[in-house]
Amino acid sequence: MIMKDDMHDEVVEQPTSKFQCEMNALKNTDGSAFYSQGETSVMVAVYGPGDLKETKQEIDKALVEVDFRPKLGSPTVNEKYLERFVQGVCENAIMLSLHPRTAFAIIVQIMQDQGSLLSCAINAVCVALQDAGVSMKYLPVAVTVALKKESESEIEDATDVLIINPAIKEECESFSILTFVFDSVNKNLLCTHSQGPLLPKQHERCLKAAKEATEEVLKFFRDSVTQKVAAGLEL
Amino acid sequence: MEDIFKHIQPVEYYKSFLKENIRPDTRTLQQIRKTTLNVGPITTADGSALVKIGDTMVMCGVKAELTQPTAEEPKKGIIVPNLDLPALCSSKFKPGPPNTQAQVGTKFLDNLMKIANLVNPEDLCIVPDKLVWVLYCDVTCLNYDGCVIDAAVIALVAALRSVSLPSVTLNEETDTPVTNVNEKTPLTINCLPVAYSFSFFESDHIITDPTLSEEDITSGCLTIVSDEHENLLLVDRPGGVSITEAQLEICIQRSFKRTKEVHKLYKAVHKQSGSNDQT
Repeated sequence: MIMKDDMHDEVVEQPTSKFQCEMNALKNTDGSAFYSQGETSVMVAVYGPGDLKETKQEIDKALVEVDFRPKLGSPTVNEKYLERFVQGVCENAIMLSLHPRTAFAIIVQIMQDQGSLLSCAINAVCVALQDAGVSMKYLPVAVTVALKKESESEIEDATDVLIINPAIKEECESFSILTFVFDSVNKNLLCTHSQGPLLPKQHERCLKAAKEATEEVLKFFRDSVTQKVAAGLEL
Repeated sequence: MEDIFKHIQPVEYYKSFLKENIRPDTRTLQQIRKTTLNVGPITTADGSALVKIGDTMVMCGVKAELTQPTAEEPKKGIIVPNLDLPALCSSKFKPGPPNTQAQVGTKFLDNLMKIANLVNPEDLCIVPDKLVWVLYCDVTCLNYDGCVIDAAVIALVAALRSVSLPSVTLNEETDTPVTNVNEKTPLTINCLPVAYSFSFFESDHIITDPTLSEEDITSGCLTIVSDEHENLLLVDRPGGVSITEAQLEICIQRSFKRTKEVHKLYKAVHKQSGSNDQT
């Protein structure tokens, strides 16, 4: 579906497939979520706050350990790299000072990677943390944006197509892929991961589009939690 | 007395300096430490560079070897970057397998090489499907005092720029490579990226070029890699306190200025390879 914003004459492609989420998918964890964005799906389990060896404990706050598991094979350097992003987001979103000398273990299992993996994983972690009832300062919301050249033109300008949460085919055709994570309260930038040569004004354009896209994700979070609570009440 | 305060309450100690808009090492919030680049310190390597940003010291050595290409990419050579943060560079790291930070740094350098197309892998092909060059780029940190990624990128680019590969032909009969060491061609580097790191103290202050002690108390290290045409190649910020777009914009503008300064270094060193140069 291609939307044209008459005021700014922008061309933005919206994904036709939606978000799906199942909270409390795993019974033995403190919190879990099966989250999918388009064709990409991720299963997250959260344990915490849990016990930790005395040598590893921090006296004033909790630790966050993230484990990224690929669909096939053992974790490699690529997974370690993505873990760093998830850990950074969680360390700031969770109120760590409420649980000193403990640790949160977050396990992310990639079920299917068909584009926008990092934003899918961060959103899934956010939902799992909500399921676990962990106190957070805000909800981290992630969006992936890709820029694709419309035609074979030399000028890198407004003719570039901006795709929100691209699928893997669209990612391969794009010259730049950016993932942004915003906080739900002030909509300020928490985390960014951008790859691909682009001009600062293209970066600004992507940032703006990503910010607007967070509304849809937040609404989806709210609907999921409402559903979960409503189902509980019926029983 | 000052030492005790610094160890017991590092955040308060730092805040007392920030009130005067200065940092414990007498730099302003925007000032970068002195950067030194030295090319060719390792004579046994095909290319090498040593970079110092303040006390942070990073060395890069490039070794070129011949190998068979992969079946998926028969016309492309292979470039293998590796960032090593050994136990000797800081008490933070214990001896043993590569720690998380080193692995993340390695992946960062690998991403950067692919996005910037630093060295075109097809340039490294000698005979398609039979013989290609493989460049092992080992970046080792010798002293860790913050901003290792910035130094690593400069070292990697400078070391690759100093590499000259001998001409190689494949002897058809014996199927062995024949190297002519007297005919050397320098490697073509397509891009000169420069990385610049910022950290944020409590969402208010932007700290450029943080040292190790500053990295520990600030959060959310933002690394911006840009090239000489003011293109943003990589913008990485693995989480931290929330920042506004205005602050991000300031960081981007500062990184362009820094790129121009480091480019003077690259140019000066390239003119007289094997000599020291400072900025």
